[in-house]
Amino acid sequence: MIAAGIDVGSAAIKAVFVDNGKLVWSRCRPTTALSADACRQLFDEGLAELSISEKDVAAIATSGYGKSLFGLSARKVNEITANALGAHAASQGRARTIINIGGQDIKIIKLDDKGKVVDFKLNDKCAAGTGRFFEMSERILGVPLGEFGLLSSQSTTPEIINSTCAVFAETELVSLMGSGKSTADIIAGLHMSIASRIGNLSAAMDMDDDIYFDGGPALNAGLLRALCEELQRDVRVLEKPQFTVAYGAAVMASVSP
Amino acid sequence: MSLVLPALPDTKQKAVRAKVVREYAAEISALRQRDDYLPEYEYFLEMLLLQAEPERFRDRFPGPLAVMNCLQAPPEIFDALGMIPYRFCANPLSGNELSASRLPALSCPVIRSCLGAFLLDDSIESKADMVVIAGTCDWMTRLPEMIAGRHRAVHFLELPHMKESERGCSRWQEEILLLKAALEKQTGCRMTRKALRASIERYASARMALRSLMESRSRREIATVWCMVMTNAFCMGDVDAWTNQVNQVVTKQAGCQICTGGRIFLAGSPVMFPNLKIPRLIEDAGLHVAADELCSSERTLAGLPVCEDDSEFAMMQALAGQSHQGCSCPTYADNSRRLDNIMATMRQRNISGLVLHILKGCHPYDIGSYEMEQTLRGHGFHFLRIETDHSREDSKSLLLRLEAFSEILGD
Repeated sequence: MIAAGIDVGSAAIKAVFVDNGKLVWSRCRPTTALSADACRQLFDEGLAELSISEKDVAAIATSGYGKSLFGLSARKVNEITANALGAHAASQGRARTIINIGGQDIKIIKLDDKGKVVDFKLNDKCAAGTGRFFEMSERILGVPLGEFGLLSSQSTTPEIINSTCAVFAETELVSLMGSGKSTADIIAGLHMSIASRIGNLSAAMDMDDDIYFDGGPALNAGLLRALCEELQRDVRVLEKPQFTVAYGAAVMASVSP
Repeated sequence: MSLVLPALPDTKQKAVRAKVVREYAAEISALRQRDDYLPEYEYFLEMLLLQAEPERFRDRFPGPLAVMNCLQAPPEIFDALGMIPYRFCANPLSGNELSASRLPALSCPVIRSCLGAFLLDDSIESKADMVVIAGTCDWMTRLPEMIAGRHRAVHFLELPHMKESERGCSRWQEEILLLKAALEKQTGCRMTRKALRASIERYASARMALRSLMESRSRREIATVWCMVMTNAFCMGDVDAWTNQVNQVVTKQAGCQICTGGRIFLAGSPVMFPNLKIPRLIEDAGLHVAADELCSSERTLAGLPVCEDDSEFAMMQALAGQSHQGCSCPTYADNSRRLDNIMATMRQRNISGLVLHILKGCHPYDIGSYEMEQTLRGHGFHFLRIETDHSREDSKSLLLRLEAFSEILGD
């Protein structure tokens, strides 16, 4: 049984196809004002590359802040629920805690052995330390996000970044660059600052072991290192962590179309 | 000496008045279009619309008007002296525009809205004969000074923050007697035992109606949003009409289970018309408020006052005791019974999850949120804290949380 899941997030649209619960295709592109068209294009690309037609897709589910935008979707799945299901499936049922950094929020989700949400926490209504913050940092520092992990590993004295606010941090980064601080130290400081924010959010939660990190920023090895140090716990990254929510939506569609 | 707030320019006043009217009209129009609308709700909608139309309000209720921020000032005392008690904690977002420059950025949305109403020359608050403010929180304690010079008769009720102690009770009784004296001075009338007795009976009927309404909501016969509409229209002029209309709705809905979804207890900051964002989102997420502790809803009126005898003093004592000790506002320092009562209600009404609604800057509720979370979780209840203000910009983010909570409860 083939099912599709699309996560229409605030920063990117992620689409996957699953065949009997197994991830067989995935792709993402930035969110624009024409999200519905982008969903359709991604869906069509998946059909073409898998050499299947729309009729072969038993169910389509969407998730994310724009989950109602794609008309073909018969099922809208809450992204916290989808994230839990996706992480459960991708970790072969091992995940009990998920740390997700999305385009505009940070989530910590606890789940049971069936992938059901037990508890969750989200940051307040502010983009501090989220994907938007990384996009801003990339622009100010002039370093592609893909190089953040490697560069931060070369840091000797991470800078102290006082604000993870997408607005105030811009001034701080410009100031640090202007005073000649190394880019590696600035990026390492950014990671520590965000890890600390996640640590604060998780403080009131009794996080179970088997902690997984997902969302686009989970691809950043430097942030993962900082997170492990901050939490003093082992944190793993799922394969294709940016697709977990879309994967969960597809799994949900497969189970109950 | 307090700084007298300068009057706002006429053009600004007119512009904000128009926005307030539009805000009320839009909310009422949306309510009328709901599938579960009943003609019986029209009375409450009309009452709420009058909040934005002071001239019509005064035409309908021409008697001496006293506005108050909290029902710890027993409405019976106002009523017994022939005054119309009116609760002014309405929450139009447009009112915030007027007060924004005069308050800190992180101030409570309720105080912003209330101050905004007092800054409008043409509002019920400004047109009232008397303003009674209970110092329920730091913001409300500062309100009398903020409106000094803009209103000729402001009476401040000094709320003792210990309610279980004899000292706290006797101080509150003293405050209530001072309130009575201030109202008598304002009206030029002396309170009579007979009038007070009649008012207590009138409000006792309202209390019974409120109880029936809450039971009906718990039986899923009345939707979360409509229940808020009805309770928000309380203390707006005519208590007998309110009681009668509530009883009509409860009777009509008896046996009609129209609400589905996970049953929750709603705690925290008040939800006041026309800001129904939170109850709407709760419904959208597939949840049903089966009980609450909001001072704008289930806690609008505490239990019946118990009078030791028929003397005026005994009745005043009973009203003071009922409004003080019957109140579970977290502004009190000795409030351990609050959580016990919440959990007892949750068990009685078969509710497994609590949503704590915090208006940003509403410190009394916010400060205790950690303790509440730990206590409830420790007793096996699910807990969700949501923090918001009067703007609509966070609706999707709040809905995300509420939907996920709904799914947790569903299991």
